[in-house]
Amino acid sequence: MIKKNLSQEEFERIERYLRSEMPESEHIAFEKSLADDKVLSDTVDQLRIEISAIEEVSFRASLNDFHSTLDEQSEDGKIIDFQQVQKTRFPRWAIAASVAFLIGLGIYFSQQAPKHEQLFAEHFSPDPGLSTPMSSTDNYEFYRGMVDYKQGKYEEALTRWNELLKTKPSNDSLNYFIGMSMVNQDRMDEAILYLDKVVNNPNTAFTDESNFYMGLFKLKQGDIESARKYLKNSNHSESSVILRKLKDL
Amino acid sequence: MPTSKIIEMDKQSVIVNALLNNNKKVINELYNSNFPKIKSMILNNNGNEQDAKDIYQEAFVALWKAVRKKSFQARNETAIQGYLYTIAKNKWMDHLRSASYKKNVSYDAIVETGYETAVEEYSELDEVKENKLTKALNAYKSLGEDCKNLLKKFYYEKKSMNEIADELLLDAASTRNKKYRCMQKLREITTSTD
Repeated sequence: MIKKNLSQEEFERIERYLRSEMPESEHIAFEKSLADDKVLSDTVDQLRIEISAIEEVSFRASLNDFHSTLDEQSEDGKIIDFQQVQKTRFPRWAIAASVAFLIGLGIYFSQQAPKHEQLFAEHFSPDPGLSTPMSSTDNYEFYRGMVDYKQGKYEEALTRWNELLKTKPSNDSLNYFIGMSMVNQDRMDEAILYLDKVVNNPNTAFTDESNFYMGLFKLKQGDIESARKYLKNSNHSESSVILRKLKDL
Repeated sequence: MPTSKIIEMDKQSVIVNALLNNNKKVINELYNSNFPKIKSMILNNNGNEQDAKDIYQEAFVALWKAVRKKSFQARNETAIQGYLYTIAKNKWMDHLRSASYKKNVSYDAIVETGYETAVEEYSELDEVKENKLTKALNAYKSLGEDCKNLLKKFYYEKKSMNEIADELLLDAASTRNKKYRCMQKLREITTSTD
């Protein structure tokens, strides 16, 4: 319950409190009255929220202004400062994926690799992993493994997840991400065995992802028919793109 | 502490202070220098220019709020860039997943800053606060231009009453009174739907 009709004096007093502009004795006295007076304390909270709102709207507007000058700069052909980009560490899985991808591309193009392998190289990038709410105590070990996965520590992730797999051998999240960890370690043939379990699980939440990756792996192996079958089962945004390109093969 | 480490820490605290005080020049530089990498990440992951802008700005607001809540600790030179990138990446991946999973996971995120892991948790109490903030955001946007400008100058740009009075060609007392009346109007609108 807040006090809507504040006098200017009351309003400015609360404002001084929120902006830490009160002398110490006044500050202490005010805090005591907050503890005793729920209406006052609710009114102070409300004012705090209103001030945050003013700042947030203004901040977002300034971001839009910055963005429009960004657009202008790129239109003028000015070089955008990439120094910051160079200094930032890329997550290890991204480095691994891009290196693997580039090497793969390089080898494929230099040996004039078959089209299906080129298609694979074009469209493959490993799953980045799930967001990890560490407040969840139920699946702590699973999400702890996910933190390892996202940091590129695939051996550690596999150790944790394989342990969990002993008690939950058909769990789709485990099988899917164990498979993905192996893919990141270039153990594709083994990865397929785990993904196979997910793809054949009618209740999985990973239908689109697992069918997409199985499709990609079959593509790499040159089994175009199977690749098509898996990709058609997937609603992944790139599935249709690859299927279209496969028509030309 | 070696000198280079001290210099790195200073640069970080310059940025943190700029974010707290809404220093336009520093924030502008920060915004421009960090966009390209995040834009690349989104364009390479099924996103377009508009997606890149939206996600980047959400990440930037998240950084700005985290600095205020002091839930973000700057530890080294790349901490802020890393924080921004990780938030943007998580928000984008959550967005991609919510389409296929039909789950709302937008409020849970682990942010790895290099040396420290900060967890954003979302509770029911936060939801009440978020609703109040949303009402206040909309109420402020609906105010007249005079009130919006005055309140922005005082609370966001952190100008003094005297500076603002000069700009508005009023005396300080009238300016203070105008600010009071604008805030009353804001409260009226914000709480009218309660």
